Amino acid sequence: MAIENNIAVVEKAVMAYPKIGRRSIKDILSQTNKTPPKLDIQGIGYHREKALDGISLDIPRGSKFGILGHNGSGKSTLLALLLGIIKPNEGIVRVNGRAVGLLEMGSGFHPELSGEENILLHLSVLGVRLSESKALLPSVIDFCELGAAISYPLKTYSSGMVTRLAFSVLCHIPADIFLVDEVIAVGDYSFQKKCMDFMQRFSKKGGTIVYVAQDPNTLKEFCDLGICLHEGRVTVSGNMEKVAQTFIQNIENIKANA
Amino acid sequence: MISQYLELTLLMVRRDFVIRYRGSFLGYIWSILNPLVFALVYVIAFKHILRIPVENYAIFLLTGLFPWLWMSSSLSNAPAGFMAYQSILKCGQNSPYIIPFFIVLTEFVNFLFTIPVILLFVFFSPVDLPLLSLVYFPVIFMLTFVFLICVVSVISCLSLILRDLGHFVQLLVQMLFFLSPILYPMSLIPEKFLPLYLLNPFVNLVELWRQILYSGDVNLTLMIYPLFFTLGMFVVACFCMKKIGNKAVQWL
Repeated sequence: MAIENNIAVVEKAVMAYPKIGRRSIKDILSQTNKTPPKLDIQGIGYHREKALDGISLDIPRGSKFGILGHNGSGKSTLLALLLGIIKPNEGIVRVNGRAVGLLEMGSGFHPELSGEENILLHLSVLGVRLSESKALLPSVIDFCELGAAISYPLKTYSSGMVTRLAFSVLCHIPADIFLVDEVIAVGDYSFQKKCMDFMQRFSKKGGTIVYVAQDPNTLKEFCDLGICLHEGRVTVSGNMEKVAQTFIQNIENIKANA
Repeated sequence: MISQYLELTLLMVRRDFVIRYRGSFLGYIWSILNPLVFALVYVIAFKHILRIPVENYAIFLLTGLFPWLWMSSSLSNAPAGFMAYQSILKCGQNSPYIIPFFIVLTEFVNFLFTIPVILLFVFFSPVDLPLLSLVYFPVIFMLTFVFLICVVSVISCLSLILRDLGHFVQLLVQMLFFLSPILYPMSLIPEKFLPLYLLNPFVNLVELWRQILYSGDVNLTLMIYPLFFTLGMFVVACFCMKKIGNKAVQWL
């Protein structure tokens, strides 16, 4: 029953780090880690062996779901799991619908190609047929508001402009669940607003949004449900407001202890 | 599904071509000029200095060299393959199985571009193009293509976990070039080394390509060894792709 209400279900997912440094084939095939990264900064743990350690969460259909956490807490790994880019070492990740999103905005673009060529290519990489993507092109160009720059090679773009292009492509792909990393913060104010408007519209049409960020205030405003990740585990989950508050409090506590 | 991958492959191959020559003055001519200049050097060195006893040496060389360049560049691009096309994998839509196709097809297009050069040489020389044997072109193409896909898959996957492989493959390609009948005819190989020499599957492939493009009498029994080699490689490739290729993003 619960599965039908949830667009995505994660059950006890474990994601180990790939081994760092010199590795033997035997180690890799058996996926054992002999040298976990050892680093510890102000109580934020980077010394664990697993990027995600037995995570479970349900994302209800049509919700706006926030994922909050420090750098290296496992947010992007979780996003990659939901997108199906990587498979968990243990546990189950099930997404009932088409997930669209990017880990790094603009990673699929080529610097030598123009904005327009990149749009067409990227649509194709994301699984849109050529006939459809040609029809979509004017609308994508319209959305990103890059003007004449659309015919310049991508290497002349600023990072904000690349983000504009990437987001514009992404939001033209039919999807049931839309995964956004915090990177849209690179765009300027008007474009950020445009992205937010798009996501609100997407949500109103019944789509599910998963928003990954480090800033609790943005998430508090936008999302209704959420979780907080810490060292690859879920610390709080439920109402986003509550999650954000706990997150802020935790930071205060860490500061006070340090 | 398949037609969508076909479309993506065509787009990626075109992209690689556009990128390779964009901004350069001579553009696509480079993909012909580069092997041609090499050929010229080889003709001087092996026909006029070392005096290999072959008539129409230039055509003999080109019909072996150009197919070889397709095979060797595919092999040398294989170790960096997943790195070069990582964006394809990082959006979660595409299977890693298509990446070897990108590599091999891009180089094949390069090979196709050089075929007019062979025709030009044939036109200005006393030999005739063996038109009849060209019916075998699709057969030999398919064999070489599948063979390359399997080998490139294995190399691409293994070099994800074994970075040393990239350097090794460069060496191997250099060695195989001289251990295949490209610069010289197979008749020059001493009898006692022949069994060892024939272990190299590229020997038969180069020979087959030369037969359909130059000599005309196609010996299809030459296909047997590469065929079995491909079969073996296919099993290894499937295993590698399943164990390593499917988790490629982890290592990128």
